[in-house]
Amino acid sequence: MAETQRILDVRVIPPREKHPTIFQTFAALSPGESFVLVNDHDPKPLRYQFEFEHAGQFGWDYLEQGPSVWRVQISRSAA
Amino acid sequence: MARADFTKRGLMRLGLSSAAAPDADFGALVHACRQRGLAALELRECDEHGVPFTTVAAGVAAGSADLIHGLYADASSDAARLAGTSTALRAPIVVGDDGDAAQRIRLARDIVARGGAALPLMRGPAREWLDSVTASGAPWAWEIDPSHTDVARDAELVLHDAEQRLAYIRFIGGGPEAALQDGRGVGAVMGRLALAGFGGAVILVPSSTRYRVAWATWLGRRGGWGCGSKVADATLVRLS
Repeated sequence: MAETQRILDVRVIPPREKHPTIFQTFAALSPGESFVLVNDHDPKPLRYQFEFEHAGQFGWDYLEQGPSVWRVQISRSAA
Repeated sequence: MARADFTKRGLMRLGLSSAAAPDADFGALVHACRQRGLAALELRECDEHGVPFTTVAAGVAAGSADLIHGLYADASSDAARLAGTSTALRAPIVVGDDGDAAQRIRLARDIVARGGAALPLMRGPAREWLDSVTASGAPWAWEIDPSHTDVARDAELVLHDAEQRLAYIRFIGGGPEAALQDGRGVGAVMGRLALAGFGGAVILVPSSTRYRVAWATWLGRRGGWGCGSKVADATLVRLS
């Protein structure tokens, strides 16, 4: 059975809730798991925040880079 | 008769209801979706393009069939006609509007019995309809309205059951209305849907005609409004 694909589309979410939602979703992952973040712009500020708060604990892989949609697979590093 | 299943499932995809541009023709709706990177389209029976639904068939033939994820119809509509429409456009009927949950479940069942695909739409507090729709054993649709219900709590109830057959979501608001929905549980809902691996369409629907201009502008505009990282407030989101 294929692994469940977790898609977090933040385009629906109010601005003040976006980053908290992303980080809480990340926190809910088990090591080795991932979700795909979908956004309407390159989430660079988010990446910087991840690097500051979770250095060495996450993976960041662009699946799509615009012009309308950015998809990033964010994974929780295996223990 | 084999059960038709035109519910396009797999990866969750954000989409648009024709309610956001009720005067637009089918081509304009497809263009708006492409502009915004939206991967699903819901056609409401009452809107300009889709009355009757069969007139859309020509546009579908042009290659946009995969974009149509739902056909929103009134619960008092003719099951046989809707079954035919569902089959022709290869998309499920989302049975909404008038009637209570039981009526919508019955009509959906009738449409399926006639060879179409249908999803009864559930709205309002989940405690009022979750048991009945779960007992039906059939796929269903959920209308999430952050203005009127505790959507974060409802998401916890709905997604608690790993076997639930939630197949489609109508999300009231979002788009240009997103900033107005601060603190109403939207982040928690989307986070829970992601963690549950929801693989259906999430269709954005304007909450009111008063925002018609905002939606029209939003659909004609590329790019976003920024990520909001500078004003992030973690207290507004709670995922168990």
